[in-house]
Amino acid sequence: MENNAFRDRILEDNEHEEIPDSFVCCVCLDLLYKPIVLSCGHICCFWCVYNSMNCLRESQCPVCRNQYYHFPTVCQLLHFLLLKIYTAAYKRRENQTLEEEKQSGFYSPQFDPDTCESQAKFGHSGIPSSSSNLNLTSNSCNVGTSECLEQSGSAANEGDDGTIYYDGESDIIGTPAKGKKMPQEELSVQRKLSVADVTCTMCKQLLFHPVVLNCGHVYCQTCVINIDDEMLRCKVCQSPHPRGLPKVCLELDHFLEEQFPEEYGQRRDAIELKQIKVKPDTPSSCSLDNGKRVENIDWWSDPDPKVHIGVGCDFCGMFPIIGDRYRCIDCKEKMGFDLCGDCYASRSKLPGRFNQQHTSEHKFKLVPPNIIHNMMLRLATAQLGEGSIDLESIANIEVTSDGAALFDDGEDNHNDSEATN
Amino acid sequence: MASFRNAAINIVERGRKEGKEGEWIDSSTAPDIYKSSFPSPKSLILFQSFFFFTFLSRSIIQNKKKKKELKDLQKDPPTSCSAGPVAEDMFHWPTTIMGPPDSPYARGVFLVTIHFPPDYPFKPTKVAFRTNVFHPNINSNGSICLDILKEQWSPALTISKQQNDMG
Repeated sequence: MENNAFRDRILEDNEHEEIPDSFVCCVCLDLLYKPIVLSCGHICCFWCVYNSMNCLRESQCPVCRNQYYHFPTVCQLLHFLLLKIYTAAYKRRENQTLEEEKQSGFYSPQFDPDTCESQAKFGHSGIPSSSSNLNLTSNSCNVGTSECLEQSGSAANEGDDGTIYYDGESDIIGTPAKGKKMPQEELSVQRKLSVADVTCTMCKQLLFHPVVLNCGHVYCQTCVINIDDEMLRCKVCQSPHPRGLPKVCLELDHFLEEQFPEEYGQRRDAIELKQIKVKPDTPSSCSLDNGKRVENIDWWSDPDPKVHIGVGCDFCGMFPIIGDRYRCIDCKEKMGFDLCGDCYASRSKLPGRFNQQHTSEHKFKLVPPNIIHNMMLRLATAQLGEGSIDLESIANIEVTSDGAALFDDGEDNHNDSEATN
Repeated sequence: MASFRNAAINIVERGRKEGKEGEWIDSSTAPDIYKSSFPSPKSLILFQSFFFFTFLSRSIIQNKKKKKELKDLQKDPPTSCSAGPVAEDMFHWPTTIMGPPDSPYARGVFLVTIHFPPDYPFKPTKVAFRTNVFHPNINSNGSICLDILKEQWSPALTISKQQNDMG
């Protein structure tokens, strides 16, 4: 009886908020939760991307099978956008995911809703809070809700603060399209949402053809194209974006065009004027091809591979780590905290991919790759031919690993592969 | 759940009444005319079955949109397929497929089993025919030679995606 009643409530909640197809995860068929935008522009949930990744080689996008090697960061702009528009459904998804995380012992990163405004202004990445509890989560949800109410109630104050960049914004929100009759839901959406929530980090205007980098920050396509660096770098956190230019996130682009038709039209006209004047060189696909050539080499054909199976870098998201691996000795979480050689050398101070409590005072230890692991994998690959390797064979190999030094590696790999399962 | 099982039993019995067991399409008894003309049987049978099972199974296995999907199925059940879990085992679906008309498999009834891995949809389902079928993509063990069920599996397989892959 209780279960049926609970399910009926969930179904009723679903029916109240109609989620458009563009914001439904293609893997779990539900509203996106902590969305991650891949370099091909497709959006998935955080755990759906993590579980879809291949711990042996390059991973593929679930939708278009575009190959990628780095686990992107959660796109906070989309995260708070969905939290504003579909509050009830997003809370339900949050509770579901929390229960699953408690069972498995791995936690996704937490974002403080207070940094939402600061992110819109300064574009800083969120700082992970303490490990999540139900009470703490509900408190932060309440804070977010109250902030939404305050923002909707004080449009004039927002105008005074200068966070709104268009003079006519409050008028447009207050009296949308006099002649038309708009549905109630769209009215409520427009009241909650403002241009300040979807601005480009570089030009501080409404996003036009938005692209999302590996670090989760969102830019206009034109703002990113004009950079002449060989390696594309985020202006906010200075982290490099691997493998050339990302593609436009079409769902977000269409959403912006629907919600802000007038501002979007102005932006389009302005950008077309600039393009007529300057005529910038359009980026060719050579960078992607070059990236693919390097990445497509099978690592087990190398005589001395340095691949850490099932372990990913917590800064750039390389999965699995190729080259040096540095593991944090002081982090106590089940997931662990690892860095690749480049991120260790750059000494950046980004938060981890999961909800780790890593600080800059923690110390690292250089971990050698599990050689027996790789050798047995090579043998298994030779026997199976070019087919894909099941995780069961990996589990068998992990069981056979010996030695105290290798035991730690095996344990870490086992935990990661366990999470993958 | 019971409605699926009853529907499957009814279809099986109807198939047995209409034809003898010997009339099931078997590779050893298929006449020569069948071997020379195949109007794209791959897209006929495989598309129908996976169109139905993969989409439906993802919703049911994950306990999401469960009631909605069941209501849609009861209103408009597919004419040539019947599937569902038996008893409490959600990860094993015995299935019956009626051969589509105007094809070499007309009036045939094919038993198919679907096994879901515990980490579905991140690993592909294991689908196998239990009835002998003369088909270029199905071997004598009943295994289906289709790359989207093996190394080309994607967790987000949708209707249009499958149609493109198999059409």
